Amino acid sequence: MRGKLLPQEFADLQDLAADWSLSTERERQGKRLASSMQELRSVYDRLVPRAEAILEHMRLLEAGGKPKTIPEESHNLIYLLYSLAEIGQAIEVHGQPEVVNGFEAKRWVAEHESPAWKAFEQRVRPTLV
Amino acid sequence: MNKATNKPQSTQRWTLEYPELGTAPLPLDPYLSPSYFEAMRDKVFKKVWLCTGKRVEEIPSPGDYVVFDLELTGASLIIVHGLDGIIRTHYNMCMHRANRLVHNERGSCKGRITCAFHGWSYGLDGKLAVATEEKMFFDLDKKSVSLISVATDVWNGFIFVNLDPQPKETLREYLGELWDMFAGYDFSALPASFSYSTELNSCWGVARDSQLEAYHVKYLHQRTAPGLMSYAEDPDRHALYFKLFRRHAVGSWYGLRSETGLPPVAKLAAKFGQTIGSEATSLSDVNQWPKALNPTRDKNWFFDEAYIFPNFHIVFLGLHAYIAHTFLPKMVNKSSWNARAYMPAPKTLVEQFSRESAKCGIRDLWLEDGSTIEVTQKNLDSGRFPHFHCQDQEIMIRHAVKVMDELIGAAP
Repeated sequence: MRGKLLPQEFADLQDLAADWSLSTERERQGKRLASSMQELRSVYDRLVPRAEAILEHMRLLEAGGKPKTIPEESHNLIYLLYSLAEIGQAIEVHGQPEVVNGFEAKRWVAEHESPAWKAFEQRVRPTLV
Repeated sequence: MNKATNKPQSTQRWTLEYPELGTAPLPLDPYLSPSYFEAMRDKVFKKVWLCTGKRVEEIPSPGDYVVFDLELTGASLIIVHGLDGIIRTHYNMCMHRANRLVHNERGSCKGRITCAFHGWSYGLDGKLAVATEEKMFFDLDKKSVSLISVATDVWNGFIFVNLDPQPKETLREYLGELWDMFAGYDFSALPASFSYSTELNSCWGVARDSQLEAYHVKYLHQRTAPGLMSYAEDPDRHALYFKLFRRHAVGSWYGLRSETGLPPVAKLAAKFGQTIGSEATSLSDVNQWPKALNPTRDKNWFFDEAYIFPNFHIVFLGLHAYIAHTFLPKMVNKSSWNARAYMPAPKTLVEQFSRESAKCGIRDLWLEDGSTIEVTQKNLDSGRFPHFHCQDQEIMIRHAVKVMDELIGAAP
């Protein structure tokens, strides 16, 4: 299996891709909950300063109108930024990986990640990511 | 109402404006009693209009369907978009030998609903089209067989059903003042963005009440909504407005949102789309909003809630974002909860990131809400808890309990 490559200009983040370039919310949330605060903090500290550059990369992908496809490397980069949204919750909100005293995350089932919902979304509002 | 600031005065108590509600603590029977549960099932959930939490946009083409399970009554319902454009609801039950017809939560069928058991097939209007090996039956009059249909109507795109074979009132009559209240709010422009469901080991009432007051926001959500409900002029108050109807109720709440105080990731996300930290009142002119939304026209407005008795809550986060909660009882101590956020579809990848971040924030806030429900049930089960104390800003709970009491004919 090929490793998860990032676009060339994000080579400095390459070592994060294997663990954090995850395509579903369930995986990203699961990774957040399975990590220590120390790990989360170190990923957070590396991604926050690069977030604007990642957003700029996303803008460039769409600069000439909606692209038909997105290169796999860019997908991986976008998923890495999505992981930052999860990690941000732990670092900026809860001060621990999980919600404080929270309802069990795995019982809070994301209907929007079900195959039927995704198929419907692709039918009425095709998205690239 | 204080006319100068448009805010309630600190001496105002909404509950006292509805003397029929009383001010006593709330008894536990509606929450714990098996006989109360049965009465609720038979006299309310089988009789009144219920919002399914599903929207017409989910079934845009003929043949599209969604399934709505109302487990306390045993009903599994198929809500289907007909070839004639009419949305109908049928029991998910083949009239041959009662097998379930569709097993997916949502899907599309090509003009026919076919039972996998023996191949009986129905039109989307419910009429039996094919009884396989028909001549082997003895007295089957195909024309007289059709799926059992359920009264169905739509309000602002939300699909409602009524299990009563002869509903006592139309949906319009049932909703009363609410029917027109949100005219001008463009629900249909806001697709379901994310949706979570869970099964709760708790009675329905405790789950339902968790989203029927905002007194808790300042405390339970101090992390996910930090400082957003601190009302400096009147620290004990968060509500700007309440209005109770015959069954339903609306409320409006104060909130101070400012993107400047947000930490880096939350701030970045709020820049490109509406998140929990976005100041909705600065995104568009509040004076142009539908009158029912933010009725006091407060700039420091957080959200409104419309409670559609008994099972549906709409939380308006602004002109372009709302949340819908569907709470359904299953058994006396089991219930289900679906929470959905509706927002404009992201137009760019950057907006999609913002949405992802908003989703994580709102999801975690819901996990905080969920934290109280099952443990409360356990405490009630201990038998040592006497009754619920209910302050002025929990008026919608007090009202909902009273409405239920009246409908089932329980002593006040």
